[in-house]
Amino acid sequence: MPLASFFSRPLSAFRATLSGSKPDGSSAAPPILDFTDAPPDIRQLVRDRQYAHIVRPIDGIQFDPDSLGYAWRAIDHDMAYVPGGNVMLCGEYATTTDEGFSLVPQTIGSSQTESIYLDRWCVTNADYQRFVDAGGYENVSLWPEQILPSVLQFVDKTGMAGPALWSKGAPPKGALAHPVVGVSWYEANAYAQWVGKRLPTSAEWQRAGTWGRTTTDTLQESKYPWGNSFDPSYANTWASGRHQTVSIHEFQGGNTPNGVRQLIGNVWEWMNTQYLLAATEEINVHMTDPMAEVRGGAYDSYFHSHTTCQSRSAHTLSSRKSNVGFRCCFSAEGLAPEYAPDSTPSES
Amino acid sequence: MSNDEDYNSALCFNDAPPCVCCDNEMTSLDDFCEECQTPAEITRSVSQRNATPHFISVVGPSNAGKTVYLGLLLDMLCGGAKNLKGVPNGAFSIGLQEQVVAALEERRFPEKTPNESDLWKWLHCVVTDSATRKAKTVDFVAPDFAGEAIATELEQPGTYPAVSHIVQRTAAFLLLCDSVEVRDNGAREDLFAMKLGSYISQQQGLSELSKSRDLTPAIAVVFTKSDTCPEADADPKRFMANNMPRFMDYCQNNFPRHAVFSASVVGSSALLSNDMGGIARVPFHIQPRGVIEPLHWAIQNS
Repeated sequence: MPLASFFSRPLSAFRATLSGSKPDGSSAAPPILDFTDAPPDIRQLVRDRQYAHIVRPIDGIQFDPDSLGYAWRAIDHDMAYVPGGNVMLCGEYATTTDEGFSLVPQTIGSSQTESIYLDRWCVTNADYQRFVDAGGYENVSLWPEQILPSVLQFVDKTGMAGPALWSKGAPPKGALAHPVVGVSWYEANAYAQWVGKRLPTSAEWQRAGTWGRTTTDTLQESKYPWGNSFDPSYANTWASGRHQTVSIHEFQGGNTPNGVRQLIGNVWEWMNTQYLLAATEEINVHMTDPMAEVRGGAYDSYFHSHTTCQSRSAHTLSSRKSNVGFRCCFSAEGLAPEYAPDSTPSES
Repeated sequence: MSNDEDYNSALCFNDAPPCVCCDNEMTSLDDFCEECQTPAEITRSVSQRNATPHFISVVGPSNAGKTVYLGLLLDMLCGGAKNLKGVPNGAFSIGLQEQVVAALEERRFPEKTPNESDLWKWLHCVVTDSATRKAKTVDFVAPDFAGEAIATELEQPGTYPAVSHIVQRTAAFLLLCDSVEVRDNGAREDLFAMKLGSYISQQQGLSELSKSRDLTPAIAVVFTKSDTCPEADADPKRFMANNMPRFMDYCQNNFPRHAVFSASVVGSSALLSNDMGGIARVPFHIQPRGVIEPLHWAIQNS
């Protein structure tokens, strides 16, 4: 999508006030878009947030213009356009110093990202419940063959298929609008496939957090979506004192200019990027299981210097942590938004 | 007597309180207590507050994570957490906090505590517990012991007078045990804890006490580094029963007030080794879990 038309569509750029946000977001329901006048199959796809299947059909068969219109309205509501560009990726390498083993920060290099549509908020418990209820854990096409035995171990506290902290196949009470946590990288990927999306790469995620404030002449990126100075009222980290996940409606002061919420804080987010730790030659790095990068920090991240748009951490792919969730994206390349029939969606 | 000596003598009489740790007489010119090596600034700090010091000692074997625990605990107290709010009394109390926080933010662990007791960092923190309707204030005093010094003192009592004097005065102990060491070398860790428990009983003369009054110290067993040991993280009491049965039994018979916790400060880490035989973890990010709870319990139970 050309940048000019992106800015000419204020609804898509600054959707934050339209998408069900309320001043006190703690008790607000998760935003579920519903087009009551849409055909039943399209209505269901939108309610399940599977509208990406309409604009990017797997079998290549195009949907009719009305269906595409509904899908684009849903995308406008749920996702933000992040134009492609360069980001400077940072990392670290392990070395031996006087104090023993240390991680030394280093610049990995510049990375070019493509334009994407990125979820404005992390996948919520309500979203994930629809995936579980639709049999996502039994659908073998969503899981890599080599980890199928492990899928049987992706169970909740009561042994039912689902995130680690759920009980009896359902999320904790009052947490429907909280990001789903306790999911492995594989579960995040399976959900993303189910809705026709994918996990963002680290570079894409970083681009989403920084592009609106990047100084183009110096390529210097802002540390946070709102600027360079940390503010505990903008992100749910240790400093904000909440010490648990919060609804996706909270901490909206930390939104990106185009309405992407909680990139920093609340939950770490799984990336579609393998974590590799470089080390000086005398050091052996023991990683028995592959790791993926996680970005953004969480409600229990102690140092805000560890939760910038540039900093990264990692977990093994099968770990199911109480502070790690995810959001999805899909490529914007080759897609031209089409407008929906003039109908008013409802939110429940 | 020279004029200088006269002058010094005049300065030191009557205005220097006895050592807060061993009651040894001190002069205002002393930097450390001659008997137990407690820094004079700790004694001055406590005496200025005119309050009874509440010794809570963080003990455990070498590499159990005592320095990181104590330094981060102090930092969390300063920020206020779970009804506890702490104010360090004196700049020296911030030294340990500064050392640990600076290291963790740089994603490394602080240097090992030296064995020499005059190099140990101490803290004196005024902690207010507002968990109950009537807030309780305690003067939390603790040294950052070297694990090897504790081990040596257990083997040869009297080698480290600092350890023995502090143990005598301690109202509550936080006994830190490395979860993975306990899981993988349970008997060794179990027996070390037994020795420590026995030493505490001996130093505090518990066998001679009347059974009608409970004057035993509170013991909080804390399984550290639980981010790398899910068994300890999930159910620390069961983990202790399974892996340290001797010490569990010892606590039940000798320390009526005891509780079991797990704690960690690291959210994710990598294990590194080198050709020299060195092996250690480096932290990717810091997310404290269960750090405040053992102290809160210790304050409420001592």
